[in-house]
Amino acid sequence: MATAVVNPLDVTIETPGVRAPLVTGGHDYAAITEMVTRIPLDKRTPIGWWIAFIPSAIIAGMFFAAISYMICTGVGVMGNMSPVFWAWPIVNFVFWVGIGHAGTLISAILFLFRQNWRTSINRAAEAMTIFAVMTAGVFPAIHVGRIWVIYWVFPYPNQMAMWPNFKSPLCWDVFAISTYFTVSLLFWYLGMVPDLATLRDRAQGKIQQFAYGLLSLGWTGSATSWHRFEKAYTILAAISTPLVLSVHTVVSFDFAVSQLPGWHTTIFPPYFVAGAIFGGFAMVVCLLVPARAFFGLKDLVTLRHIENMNKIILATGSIVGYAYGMEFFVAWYSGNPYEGFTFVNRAFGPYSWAYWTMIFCNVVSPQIYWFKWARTSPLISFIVCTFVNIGMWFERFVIVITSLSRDFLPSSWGYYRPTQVDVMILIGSFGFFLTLFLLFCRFLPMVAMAEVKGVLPHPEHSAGKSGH
Amino acid sequence: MAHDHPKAKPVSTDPACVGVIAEFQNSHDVLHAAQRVKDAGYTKWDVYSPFPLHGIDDIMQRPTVLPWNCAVGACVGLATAIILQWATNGFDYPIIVSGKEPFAFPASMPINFELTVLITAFTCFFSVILLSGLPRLYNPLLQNERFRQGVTDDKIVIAIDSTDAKFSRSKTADFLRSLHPSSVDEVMAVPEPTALPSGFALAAILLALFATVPPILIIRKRNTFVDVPRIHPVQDMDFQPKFKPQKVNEFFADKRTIRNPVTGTIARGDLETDVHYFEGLDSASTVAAIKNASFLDPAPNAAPVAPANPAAPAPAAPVDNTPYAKDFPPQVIDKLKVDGIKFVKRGQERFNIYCAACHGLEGAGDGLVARRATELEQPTWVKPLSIHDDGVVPQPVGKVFRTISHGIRKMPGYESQIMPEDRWAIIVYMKSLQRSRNASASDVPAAELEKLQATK
Amino acid sequence: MHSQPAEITIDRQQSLGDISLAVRSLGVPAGLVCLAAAGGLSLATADRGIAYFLNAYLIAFMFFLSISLGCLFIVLVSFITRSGWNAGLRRVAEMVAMGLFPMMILFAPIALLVIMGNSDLYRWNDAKYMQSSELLSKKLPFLNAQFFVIRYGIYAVVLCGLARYFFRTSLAQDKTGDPALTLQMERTSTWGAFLFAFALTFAAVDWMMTLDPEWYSTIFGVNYFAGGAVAAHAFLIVATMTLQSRGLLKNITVEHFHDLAKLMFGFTCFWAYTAFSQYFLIWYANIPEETKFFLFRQGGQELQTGWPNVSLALIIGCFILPFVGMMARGIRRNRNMVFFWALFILATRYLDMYWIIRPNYQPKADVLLGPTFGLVDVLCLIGIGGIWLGSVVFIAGRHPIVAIGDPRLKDSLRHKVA
Repeated sequence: MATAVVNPLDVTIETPGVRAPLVTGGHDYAAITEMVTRIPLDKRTPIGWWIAFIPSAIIAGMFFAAISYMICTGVGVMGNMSPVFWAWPIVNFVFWVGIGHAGTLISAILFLFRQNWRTSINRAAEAMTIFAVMTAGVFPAIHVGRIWVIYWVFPYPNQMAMWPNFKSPLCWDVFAISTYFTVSLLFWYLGMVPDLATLRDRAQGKIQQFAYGLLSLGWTGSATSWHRFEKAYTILAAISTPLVLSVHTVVSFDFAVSQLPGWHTTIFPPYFVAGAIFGGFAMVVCLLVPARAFFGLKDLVTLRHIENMNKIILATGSIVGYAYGMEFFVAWYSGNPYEGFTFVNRAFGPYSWAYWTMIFCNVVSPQIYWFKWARTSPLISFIVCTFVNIGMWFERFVIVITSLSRDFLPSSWGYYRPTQVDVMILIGSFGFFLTLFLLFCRFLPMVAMAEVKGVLPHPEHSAGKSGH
Repeated sequence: MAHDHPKAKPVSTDPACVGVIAEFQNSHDVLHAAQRVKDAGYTKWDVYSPFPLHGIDDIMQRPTVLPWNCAVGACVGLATAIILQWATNGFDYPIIVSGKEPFAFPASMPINFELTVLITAFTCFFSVILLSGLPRLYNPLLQNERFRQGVTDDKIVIAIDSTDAKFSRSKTADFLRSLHPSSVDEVMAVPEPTALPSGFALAAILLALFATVPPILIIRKRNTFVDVPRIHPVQDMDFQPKFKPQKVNEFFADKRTIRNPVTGTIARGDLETDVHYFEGLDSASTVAAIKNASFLDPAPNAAPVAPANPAAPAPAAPVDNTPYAKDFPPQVIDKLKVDGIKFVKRGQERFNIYCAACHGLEGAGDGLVARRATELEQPTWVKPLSIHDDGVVPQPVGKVFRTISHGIRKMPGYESQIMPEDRWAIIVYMKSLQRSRNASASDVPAAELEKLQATK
Repeated sequence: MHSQPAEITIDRQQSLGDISLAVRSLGVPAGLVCLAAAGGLSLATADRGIAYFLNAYLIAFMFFLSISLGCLFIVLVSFITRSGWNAGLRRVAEMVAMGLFPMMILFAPIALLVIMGNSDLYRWNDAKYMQSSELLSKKLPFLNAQFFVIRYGIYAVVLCGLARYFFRTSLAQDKTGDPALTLQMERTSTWGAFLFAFALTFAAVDWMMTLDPEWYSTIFGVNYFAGGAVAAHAFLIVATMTLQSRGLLKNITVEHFHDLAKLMFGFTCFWAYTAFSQYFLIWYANIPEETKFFLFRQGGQELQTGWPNVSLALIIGCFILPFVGMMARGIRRNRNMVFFWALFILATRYLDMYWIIRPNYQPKADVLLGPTFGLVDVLCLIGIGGIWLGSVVFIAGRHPIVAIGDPRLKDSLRHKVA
């Protein structure tokens, strides 16, 4: 096992012209392999893992129990009532899809921008993406009420000779979310194949050997394969980048193509995307801060990684703040009384508590990241990122609930209240998500070893310059 | 491990040399060595490393069609999306939603994009797997412990395959040793086993047997009759705790589920106070005569069994003192002014639909129904009148209107089928029909008259 | 990786001063002459008058402004992301960003006209028009001459201040090579980016969106920014290649152009994304006061003005052609092709500005005017471009064309696209 050397070099100090090391501790390739493969290949499951896993699994059970109860009884057990028919299920859906943006962003966009520091965190972030999108996908499916006819959303020839309405944003959602999930999964799996081969070659147990052997498809890392792999990785990154943008853009279309005040505004697409990246990175930090400590990955996921993610959170949080500002400005500038009312109502109406929670969590709390000590403190990062996650959930709450509860007709106004089932489903979704993530941590390589090795400084370069 | 295979089957157990591998410690030496291997004329060789080696592609020069596959995938995806949306929403079952044309290109953009990406990603993924010769179930090189432990961890290996034309076990090994590797191994491996693993055949047979179960069940079900209702697992709100209109309801004294509206209830839009327009009565006289009420037909809006509504006095008087409207209501006159001949045409169209079946297209009382009934000599049949009948022509328009609305003798009322405006339109057309029977040449416009005379 | 770059030498003295003497000495005067000619020509044409000249002036102005703003953005982002690959190019961007000074001066005549009550360009400056509808009268607190000019002052101070700060600090680093200055600029760039974003957004809203006081769109600023980023990358490519043909910037290789072309390509897609978002949401929701913007440009049965053709040209020229044309890696690594596409994109950026601004020139109430283009537009383009470029060269003067003191310069010179 690699000996974790206390690193005298603080990687968060920036010296222009000198590239800070991406991995601390002066580990070589073998040490990195050891550090990462140790976790899934360990025969004894750490007790701490069980302590996290069992409650998560119980909460996940509650998630499915609540959903089953809702399906057997009817959607009336949720708080979705006139005028707020799009209530928590849609809020949760948008929230989880948003969380699912950071992973592919890290693996695709940061890859294209040659941000090599992404290699330590991209695997875990991509896994998080996939689980978040899975969690998100549950919500539109369940809140249709009759889940057994969900296949009606797909274009198939049926006896009524009718087709789905492709002009409907909800239909676009089906395509966007399923495409995003599929492509993220392919991207994640493709990137994992070399690491699965590493696990295969180091596994001791028969079952492990068989399972990792099957999953690694017989990869041996030949130069020919790597050549195709790199081409494919670049192409997947290049198409995933607009795909990431498109997914939350399409989700924003669900709202923005309508004429409802507070929903119809042209900045929604980039605003939703920035918000998704903001929330997604916050979730990555929330997951990786404990994980790096627990699994002994502090040399791979260094403080510099945490700091970089916090900087992105600060930047995207500011873009979100910009969008809040533009919405308010144009609501006033447009002279449209309904728009104006909606925004005043958000800030000072019956849901003002939600609005100000959102503002505090999303706009105020990340401001602490202007200070380096806050960016580089795992504890503060964890706290702020938790706030950001809460804030992003409330952002969707504010958008969905306030606009719907105040329609054009005052006679259709109402006040939305969630039921116990709503609360159980929301909490349960976290359990489902965490269960999947913990399974991933236990059984799959949490860090992209091959990619980290690829960006490590090569010892021979600094020594000899005997060019060929 | 490479030399020790106790479990291998007796057939082809001999480990043969499948190639020679040379292990290197760092990427720089490998690039150098790879160039030498290539220069030496070997073709079936490869470099194995735990991460992509930059610079090796320039040496090995093994270009790939992968980007082109992806380009094709992208085109296929885009075409699929456009064709799918156009064919379903624009061609097969056009629907207009929110004022957009059936196939609106901007609205197709999200799906165009998503499907393009999806198909490209699939193409890309399967291309990289298949072009790299994966999935590969058996790789003899992996039987070499050094290779297996090293190439996915921290070692870089050059392997020359024994099938290479230039391969010679000793010479190749010596050649590789000359490149200063940290070690050189001859990889001894058993050839890829050709026999199926034990149990595989049994499993296949069992699977095949299981696969016959669904078709057998289907055939059986299609050839038998069952008289019990099918299982109804998904209720779909088919059985709801609610009362249907004609069912008994113990809650009410009269045990009827369907309730009468409160007396005097008028549905939205049914408040028809303009008796001239809606009833064909003269407004002023109606107001005066409203009290004796003897002329009134059964009130159209009154409930059939309304205890609160005392039965109207029986119309004993044979004299019809109903104050029929003599003129068209102002609404109809306005309509005529605006629409002109269109309004008459509308009346003609309605007349031909509703009246002509009995009264005939010209109103002579010789419609198909009338002729057939006369042929059959039905005793209960009352022959429809000709609208040109002397008794009909002088009737006030109000009386005609009421006849159409409420019927007369065998003729049913058309109130529920023809809107008031259309009933008036029919009367306008009827008046013109009546006029046409008594028209003179001076009624024809001069231009038309000339034409008629010219055709003679 | 396998080939170590040879020790890189860089000419520390290279500057614009000598080689661009013609631009430096003739740019501003020639520009002024062109503008005067354009104004005279426009006024002399009876049915056009000052309104046409102002419209043409604004198109050219917003076009060159977007290049300078885009370059300022490149500088800011380079520091925020601590990027090394473009350190050898950044000085050119810093110099072009200094073009914000002449641009802010060039807006002064418009501001002056607005203060004097001219409403030929900005209809909202006409009190009678603004009182004509309740919707418009609500906007008076924002759309009035005094506040407009105050905002112009704020934009000028913020944008010129930022441009000047980075140019000056970077020049100071040339002499000392002090890495602390880089850290200082990195810190400034973070909050500087905020000021930049708000100044750019509201400048775009003020100077272009309010041309039609009824219409509004929240993404408008982002759209203008995206176009500016595209234009700036295109201009950097053209400028760098032109300078190279005069013997400067020899250290900029195909690797840098490859990256610049990628970014140009990426921002072209981003621009298309913002433009599509704006169009799509307005088209779909179909609210009259929003749709009017596109209804006129897209045309309809009763609007046979020729604008639909311009819109089509915009879609094809600003997105489809560059997107398809620059997709292949080989093209992005081909010097001539990159040069061609950069020029092409600059031309289509002008078309975009034209498409936004020109339809607001509607002198007659009863007849809707189709696309017009003439000598006045060409003269305005040359005039403003001449003053802008002449000033940039003048300011850049004898300063080094490469940030020779930048500690990341060696990263940049060794840069190789993986």
